[in-house]
Amino acid sequence: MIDVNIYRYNPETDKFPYTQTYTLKKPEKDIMLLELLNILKEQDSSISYRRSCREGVCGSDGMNINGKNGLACITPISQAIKNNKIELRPLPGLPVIRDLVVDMTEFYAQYDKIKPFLQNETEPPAQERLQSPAERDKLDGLYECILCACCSTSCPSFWWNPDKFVGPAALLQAYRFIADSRDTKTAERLEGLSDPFSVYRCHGIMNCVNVCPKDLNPNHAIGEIKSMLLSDKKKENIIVSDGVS
Amino acid sequence: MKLGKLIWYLQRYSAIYFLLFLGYLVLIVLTDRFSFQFLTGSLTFKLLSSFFIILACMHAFAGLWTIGTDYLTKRTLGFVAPVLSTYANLLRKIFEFFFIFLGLFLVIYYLLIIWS
Repeated sequence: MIDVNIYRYNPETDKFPYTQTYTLKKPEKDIMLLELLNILKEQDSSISYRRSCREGVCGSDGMNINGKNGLACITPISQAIKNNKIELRPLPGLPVIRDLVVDMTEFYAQYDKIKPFLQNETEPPAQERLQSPAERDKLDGLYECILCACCSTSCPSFWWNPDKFVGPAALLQAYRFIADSRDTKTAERLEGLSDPFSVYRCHGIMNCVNVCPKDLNPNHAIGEIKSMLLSDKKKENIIVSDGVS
Repeated sequence: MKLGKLIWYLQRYSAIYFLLFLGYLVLIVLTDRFSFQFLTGSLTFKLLSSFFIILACMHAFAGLWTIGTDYLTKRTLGFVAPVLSTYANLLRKIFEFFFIFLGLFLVIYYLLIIWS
């Protein structure tokens, strides 16, 4: 038997959040945590959580699993279980809407701030803006982010200043466009990150790297942005490093 | 220079200076020159130590300002008690002014001792 402790909170009926324990027979197969939640939902339909693709692509089911952020759909219960217990909480630092569902407005506001789209003022070519294979290689390890918010919500700097510190997920995306050879707004992008909070609040504790379900390295991207802000490093000097590629 | 960059450089370069100044102090002790007469009589020591105390206060304030803007905010104090959240900005200003005055007091006091 396993105990699954789930953070419960319904603002319409609960004054305070509480933990509810569900005891169930340990599944014979090493199923994913999301499947376990689906089994529990059949017992108690009031449990709320986000889910969609069930294969680690949509980033909907980010949650705090035994104290570490991760995606329920790609976390096997054998990996999550500790002393026959699994503790499930919502992503830390964001307001809870209900149970494991958090309000991601602040997270998306920071994503919006970095202008996550290609900006190029030159005349568009007839077909498409081309890149050399070497230029394309610079984007590896950056574009794969699925915006699950596991990294940003594991970052204490983002907990304390979610309105000012951009956070690892959005900074990874900021660097994704800074490093893109087709984007011509590098100076403006860096200007927008030059205040004491947006980037400099990252103290490199690397929680983001530790929890990223896609094995990305936001800390390296942040380091590159800092390096560009602090020096006169030009875009063409960006190299593909082992940390990102 | 942008404020973020200025603070970053201030903290790093001042830390390097602290290390160099520490080396200078060790050198004084090792060469058996460590005495109150030497410390108040050497122009080099006076200049280097004055610069040290000014930089130390600036370095410390940059760190304390970071702590204040992390932990003394409406959001973080709200976790402790909602009533504290109401006074978060005021508490942070008091915190910052306290350390500004403490820093200025230490700098002025030290400069008076060493240069008078």
